Amino acid sequence: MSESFQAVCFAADAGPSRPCRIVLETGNIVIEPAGGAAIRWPYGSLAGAIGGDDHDWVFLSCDAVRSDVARLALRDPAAIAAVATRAWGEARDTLLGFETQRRKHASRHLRGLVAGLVALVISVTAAWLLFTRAGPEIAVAVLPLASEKLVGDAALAHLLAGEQEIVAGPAAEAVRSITARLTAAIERDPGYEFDVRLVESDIVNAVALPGGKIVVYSGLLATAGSADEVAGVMAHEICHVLHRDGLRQVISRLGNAAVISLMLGGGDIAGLVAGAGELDRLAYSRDQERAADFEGLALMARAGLQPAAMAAFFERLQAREPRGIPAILSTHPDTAARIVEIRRLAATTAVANPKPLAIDWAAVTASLE
Amino acid sequence: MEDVTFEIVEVGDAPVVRARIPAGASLYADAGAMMTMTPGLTVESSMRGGVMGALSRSLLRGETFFYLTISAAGSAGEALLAPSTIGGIEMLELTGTEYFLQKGSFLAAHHSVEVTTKTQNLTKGLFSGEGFFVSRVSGSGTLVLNTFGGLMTFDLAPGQEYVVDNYHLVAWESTITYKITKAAAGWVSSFTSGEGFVCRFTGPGRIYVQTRNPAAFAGWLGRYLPKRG
Repeated sequence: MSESFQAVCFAADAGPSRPCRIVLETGNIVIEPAGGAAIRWPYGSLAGAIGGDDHDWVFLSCDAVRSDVARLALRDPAAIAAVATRAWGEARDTLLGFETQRRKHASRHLRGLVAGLVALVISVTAAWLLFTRAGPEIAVAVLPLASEKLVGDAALAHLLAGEQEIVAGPAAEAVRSITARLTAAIERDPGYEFDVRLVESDIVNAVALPGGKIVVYSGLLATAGSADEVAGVMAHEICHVLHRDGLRQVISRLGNAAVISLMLGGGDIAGLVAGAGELDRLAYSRDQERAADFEGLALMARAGLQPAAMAAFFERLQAREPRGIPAILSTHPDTAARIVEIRRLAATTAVANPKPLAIDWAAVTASLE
Repeated sequence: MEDVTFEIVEVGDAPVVRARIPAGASLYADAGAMMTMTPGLTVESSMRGGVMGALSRSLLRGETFFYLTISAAGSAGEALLAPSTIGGIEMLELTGTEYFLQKGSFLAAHHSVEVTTKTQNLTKGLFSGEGFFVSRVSGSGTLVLNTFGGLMTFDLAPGQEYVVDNYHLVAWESTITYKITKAAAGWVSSFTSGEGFVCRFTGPGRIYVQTRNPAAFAGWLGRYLPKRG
């Protein structure tokens, strides 16, 4: 008994696909193209191949019969199975293996897609992490000094906006004197002059900005018990500047697009810095703080100042904590542990040439009342 | 029962499709495609394929969540359908084979035409210009395509290869295999030529190609749009 199925056939020359009916008769597959004469292909002369974008077509051909049909395309599993039972040789193997091949292809397609998407997600995440984490570090390492100074100028202007600066009087003189003593003890030339500004404020804080800019709030001087204690804080901040910690923080906040703009030397730097958020709340990592403490103590010793004054100031602040944590401590983690560590380091840091600061501290604090 | 007949009506450079809908018949079309219709026809939205089908269509293929169904419940009627893009309209008769369709090319079809989602492999998803998901059109009946620019067809003989720029591709028959390759022999030439990746098709089967590149047009248009800020 003959069976019939719907199929598609293609001519040897470029032409559109044509629907056709196939009839499986004894010895031959009969192709009846729409609007064309029937063609008989002997089962023994068939060649088969699996194709199509989803490997879900079987293409049969028959070189033994000259006709205007070059390929018979089957997709109906019932038709493929029916032809397979009648075909011989390689064509039979292709037809019988069709379902297995199709499933293998679908499985490979799915596995490849999942693996590729997982790889894509991992790559994008890794690139994002590299760009966001390592990006600022790379930028800090390679950003030219001129750009750092520009960022510092913009950050200073942003921080001083609306603030009352103290430029004369005992307090301003004291800050200048401490700055001169400490910066003279810096071992390598940073490439810029330190510019320390004193701002009238109850805030007990000092902020290290890029390019040698430091802002000291008068609340810090009013709280300190001596000029050496202020020198301890300023030595700590100077070391943050020298390590480009402030620059690192500003860059982290600005994001990579701004970093690229800075690297290329263009863009609205003041606008960028304004977008960096609260610059007086730059929070450093524990390692950055520890390094600034350690090197600040060494800087004090080289400047002829007693390193223990740094610990004394932090102890004074800690004692004030019931009245609220001062800003300088709120951004500095593990205060108690740090004080112990500073005390320990200060005790082992020798001052080769002690030279106390000649500052009338009572006059300084009186001028701030 | 008599079924809907479609006819392309050339109106200057902006063709539309006239659908004649016999009593009791209906068609489905892209949401917003209806331009005019006779009063006896009814219009309603349908998800076609259920919520999952509609979600797949809108989220994966970037097409409309709802289709428009135009029915002639009482007496026969006529509707004019217009595509949202500037370009040609072509009717594709499905006769036992399937087609894969790029996003945004579907305009209207007989209800016997099924449009589902096909997932492409990673390389094709990333570089074919069609994304990870394309439409698989199967069944029987007429599918009305709209294109950006005019439409050309290429019939490939068995084993014949043909290269199409990915953004010019509209539809291809499922009997065709294709792969993504560089446009030129070298990577630098591929990208400096402005072609990048292309689709290399192997027959047998038919490819539909649009004569304008929507991505290139968007880039050209962008130069004339006012900048923000």
